Amino acid sequence: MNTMSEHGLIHCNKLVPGHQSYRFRQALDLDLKPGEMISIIGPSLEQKSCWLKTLCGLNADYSGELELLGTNAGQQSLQQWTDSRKGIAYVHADTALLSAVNGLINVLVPVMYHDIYKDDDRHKLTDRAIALVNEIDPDICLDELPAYISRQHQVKIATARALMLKPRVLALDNPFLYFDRDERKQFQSFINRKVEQGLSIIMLTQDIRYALGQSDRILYTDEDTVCLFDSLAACRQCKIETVRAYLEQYPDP
Amino acid sequence: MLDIAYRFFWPLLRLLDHITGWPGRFLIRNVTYVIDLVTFSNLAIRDWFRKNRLLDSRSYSGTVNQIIFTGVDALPTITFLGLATGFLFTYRLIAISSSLGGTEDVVNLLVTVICLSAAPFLSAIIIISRTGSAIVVDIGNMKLRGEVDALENLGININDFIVAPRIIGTSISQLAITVYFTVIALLSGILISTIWINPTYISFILKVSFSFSPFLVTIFVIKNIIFGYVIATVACYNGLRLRGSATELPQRTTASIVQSLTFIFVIDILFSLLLFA
Repeated sequence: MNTMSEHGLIHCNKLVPGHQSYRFRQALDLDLKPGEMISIIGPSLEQKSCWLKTLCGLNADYSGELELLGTNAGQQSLQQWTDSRKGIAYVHADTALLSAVNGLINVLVPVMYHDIYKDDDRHKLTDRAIALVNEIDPDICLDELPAYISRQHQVKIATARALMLKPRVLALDNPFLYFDRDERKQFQSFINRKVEQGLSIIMLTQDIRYALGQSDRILYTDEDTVCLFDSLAACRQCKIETVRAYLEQYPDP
Repeated sequence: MLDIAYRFFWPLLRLLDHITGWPGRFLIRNVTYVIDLVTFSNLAIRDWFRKNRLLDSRSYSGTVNQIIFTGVDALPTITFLGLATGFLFTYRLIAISSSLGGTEDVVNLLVTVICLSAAPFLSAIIIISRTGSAIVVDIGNMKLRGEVDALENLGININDFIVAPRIIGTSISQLAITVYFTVIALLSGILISTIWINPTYISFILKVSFSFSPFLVTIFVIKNIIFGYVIATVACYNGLRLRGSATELPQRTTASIVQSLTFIFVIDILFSLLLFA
């Protein structure tokens, strides 16, 4: 029987992800608190992505303990799995929208499937979706099919789709990949507002300056090393050569 | 000596093994495939009933969309084919059999050949070529583009959201289409015969209607629902079996069409045995 525990939203103990190409040598202990932002940094995008997916429960190949929203990820019932997928939203830069329906329906599909807002009729749900999308970017056109929506707007619609489920953790996998400078700043300010409202963010990005500047904690990963730092200062003072060499590429602004 | 015997007999033994082993491997592969299909469809239907309530209209949006695509959108094609069947089969059957036997024989022939055999089979072929292939391409493309994974990451059960509505919708559509096809094929054939052969043949309409016993109606309904169920299951299964390459899509579509046709033939033979044996 998988019972709820007192740990944080995502809790792991001696966690080592499995990967067909890499062999991670160090384990991670982590407890993600509400309203906390953790960034994953390191030289390899694929390795960071593997860590992020494992922490979200999307990579079944791992060793150690992993708890998602208080339930053991390895022993979840179908309902617990569904709850953890609703509670821990994962958005990748290439997350696909449903190609057969327009942007608005894409945002509404999961929330209607899970019947999150039980008292809302279709009109209220639509208003909610439009308000959320406008909060992210008012220029997004929701009437078009995804094929006619720009890649950066698709990422924002995918984020809105995930946020409509009222998740407690938002995992962002390289979300700024297709953004230009202004769009990146706009989306970053939206993320910051969400963190202030209590949403936990766990993210990997190529915008390392943003990750270092905004995160409450920083997780450095490569094949040989996994280090969790409580602050940027702690990260900068790290004695491990690979971490120091990596961070030297990104001096403080 | 032993070495010579070994060298001489070993190729023969290999050949014998190959010949006798082939039917076994063929049987195991096909039986395993049928078990896979049954499990796949049962899990989909089970998940659908777990998630949805029968009297909740919101549960039916996916199923209704499938019925509209499979049933309503196909009506012009079905109407044309029904009229063609009426002329090619019903009219000729009446013309030939009325010269050989009595009215009862003609009615029996119409019920057996048109209602219970030709109509379900031709409707199934239309649904295989139209809906079955569309389902494989639709689901296959969703799989290739990562839409299926994205839905699963949002906690959406694919069985309940994608597979079950297609199976239920296609089953209902197959039944409805066959009823429509049968009516068109019979009416048009009887009307042509009435005009061209004998005006009294108009009475066949009532006679055919009354000759449908509850047993025949049950067979008709079950047969058509099974046809639709099998066609959609095979299509969904093949669509979801795509792994990552776009080149697999036409292969899976072809495989789905061939497999569905094979299943329809086998099921039709089994029903014929049940009905006439």
